[in-house]
This record gives sequence, C-alpha cells and structure tokens, in this order.
Amino acid sequence: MSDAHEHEHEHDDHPWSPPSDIEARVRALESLLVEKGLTTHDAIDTLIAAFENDLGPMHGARVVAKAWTDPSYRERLARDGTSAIAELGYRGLQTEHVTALFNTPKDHHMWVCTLCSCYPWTLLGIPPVWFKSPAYRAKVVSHPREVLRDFGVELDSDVTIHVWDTSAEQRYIVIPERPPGTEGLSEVELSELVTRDSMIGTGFPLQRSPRS
Amino acid sequence: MDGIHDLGGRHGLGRVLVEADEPPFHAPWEGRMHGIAVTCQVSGVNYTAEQRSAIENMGYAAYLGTSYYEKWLYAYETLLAKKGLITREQIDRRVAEGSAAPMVAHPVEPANLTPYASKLKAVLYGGTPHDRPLQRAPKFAPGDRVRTLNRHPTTHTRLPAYVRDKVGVVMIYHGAHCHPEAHVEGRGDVPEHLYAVRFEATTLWGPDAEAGASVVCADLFEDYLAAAEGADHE
Repeated sequence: MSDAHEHEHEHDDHPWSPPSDIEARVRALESLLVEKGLTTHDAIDTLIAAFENDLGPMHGARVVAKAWTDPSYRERLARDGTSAIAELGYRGLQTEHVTALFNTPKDHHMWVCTLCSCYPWTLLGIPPVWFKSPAYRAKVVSHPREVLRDFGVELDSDVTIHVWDTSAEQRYIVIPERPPGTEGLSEVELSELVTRDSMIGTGFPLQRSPRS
Repeated sequence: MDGIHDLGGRHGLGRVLVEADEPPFHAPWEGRMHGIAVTCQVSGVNYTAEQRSAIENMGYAAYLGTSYYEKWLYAYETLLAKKGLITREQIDRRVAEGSAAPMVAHPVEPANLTPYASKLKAVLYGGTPHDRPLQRAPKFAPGDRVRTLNRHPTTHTRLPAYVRDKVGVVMIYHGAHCHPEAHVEGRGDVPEHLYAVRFEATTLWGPDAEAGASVVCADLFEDYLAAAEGADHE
C-alpha cells in the first residue's frame, strides 16, 4: 500500500495526463483483472457487443411510440416509468429507476447530469460526447435556450423549459409530442421518427419517416 | 467537494458541439474501459459513487483536459491501487512487457459464455436497483416548500453548488435510495428519501436568469433539505 500512497501524492502534485499508448495500458489493466479473478475477457466482449449491437435509442423510441398510440400505456408510463418501460423488456444498468417527462405545447423538458454524466444506458445506449461535455453540463441549467440554439432549436419564450438534473440514480426520458400528420403510421413507423435527442430534450422527432 | 466536476451554471465553456452519427465507442479501448468499470462493480470492487469520487479528485486541469474514458482509466487505476488490488507499477510493468496484438474492434458475444460473463450480462440487462426499504417516514411530500442546506463538504456529495441554500418546491417523491455518500465513505447501503425539487430560474440566477420561462428540477436526498419558512421567496 505504501507504493500506492506515494503515487497518490505524486498525482496530487502533478496534473494527471493520459498515457501516450492508452490502448496498451487498458489492455494491461484488463489482463491483471483477469489474473486476479475479477473479470473474464468474454465478459467484456459481451458487454461491448451489447452496447454496439443491441442497446441504443431505438429502445427508448419504442417506449415513446407506444405512449403516442396507447392511452392506457401512456397512463402507466406517467404513473410508474420504470415498470411501464420494463413491460417492453427494457431494464438494466442505469435504467433501474426511470421517470417519463411529457412535453406539452407549453412545457418542454430536458435533462442533464451536471455532476457527472448519468444516462439510462440500457434504454438509450452509451451517451453521446456532447452530453458528457462540460459545455452542455454547465450551460443547460442556466441558459437552456442558448443550448437549444446550439442544436438549431428555437422555442417560444412562453414555453416553460423544465431542466431536470439527474443528481441521484433516478433517470429520465422525455416523451416528445407526436408530430402532426402521422395519424396513419404504425407504432413501428412512429418509433422511427423518434430521435435520441428528442428523448433528452435537445431536439424534436422527425416530421416524416426517414424511409419515405 | 466543490471541485471542477460540479459544473452547473459555470460560464465560458463554449458552445455544445454535436458529432453526427456518433458510434458508442470511438476506439476499441473505450469499450474495454467501459467493460472494466462495469466488471469492477459487478465483482464488488467498488460502487459507482467511488468511481465518481475518484474522478472528482483528479485535479482541475486533468479533468478539463481529458476525455470521458480517460477519466475512467484514471479512476480505476486510482481505486484499484487504493484498495490494494492492482498497483500502478504492476500496470507499468505489464505495459513494458509489450506483448499483445492490437485490440479487436467490435468483438462478438461468444456462443458459450463463461459463468462470469453470464453473470455480468444478467446484471447489464437486469440492473442493480438502488431503492431500499426505510422505516422512517419521508419528511416531505409533493407541493412542500423546502430550502437546501448551505453545505460545502470536502468529500463526495450529490448536492450541486448551484442549488445550495435555495428555496424550491418538492415535485416528486422517488422513494428511499442508497445514499452515495455512504457508499464512498465505506458505510455500505444507507437508504435516504429522495425527491425531485423544482427551483425557479430567478431563484437560482437572480436578475441574470436567461430570458424566457424556465425552471430546474434537481434530485436531492432528504438530508440536503430543510422545511422552508412561509415568508421565504422562491
């Protein structure tokens, strides 16, 4: 432990900088963890494959599309977001406690983690870099309209913006308003209109199917 | 702690830059770093709150000058050394041996998982709920006016600086959740009531609040809150 202790002082006195060969260092760390019996290579392969091939914003989009088409589901989602989302098979790490926020013509919801980068991984996937950036985390609580302009979004001044700071383990999903002129679309077609940003509150759903 | 990580309301950080068609991981090591963090939590090495606390202590220049997963590498090197599991010297030596081939991009899930991989997958898809039963009744209910405490601990806290000593209204009672401060302090699962509290923009930013209607709702533990006296303005 004395080695580690000395190292901590070293790091207190000099700013830490990432190693030039970070891949080699992460590989070394992983191999030591495997030798200690704390992980296996196939566990990490499985996690990466899950995030690259399965977990992503299309899961959240299905929740939104169902909330648009099924009034009783919408009611259950409003009452208990976690259970209603789990009905569709979505639960997991960082998605244990979810509250759905419903936009209306006069209320626009957005969420942020000002203290770190909390995000519902198994509902929306790995967070984008901008969500984790100091610029977004600093600015969205004091200047939400300026942040929306960074995304090319303009809201009327009488629309109340509700910015939710996920400072605990509660996670959020915005249920945007259903775009006009989508009455004939199926739930699957509707889910294709739902963008990741529209579920964070920095954007809106597409107006028409990307396929049409 | 009042560190650089506590960013809410800071000025001068520029505009939000959005990357089109962003992949989950920008390099193979980022995905493996994510896996290392989850695996350490699944194996009981540390709580998520300890990872956050380690990052909060990395220093201002390093915090602002590093990427998300670089911070995670710093956190796990620090935590594993502190817990006496893996030292930085061991990692240095392993890097110097310079053996392995480049990392495989986009690994696939093997057909037959080891028991440990099955366990990790079950946690990934099942989650680890943070709510716990608490006998003591919640002090507040939706609609109650509360004042946040004026606290400046040098240790881990989830009371952001910009909402301290401010009057707000309880919007949601989330139930009792494990207190992250107890996780960092080695006291295990200590449940505390959790609320979403709404603050008017003018309460937080005064006359410098941005034009246009807005409010902020922050998730705050009961021990960060006191009942607000009636005469207080929001």
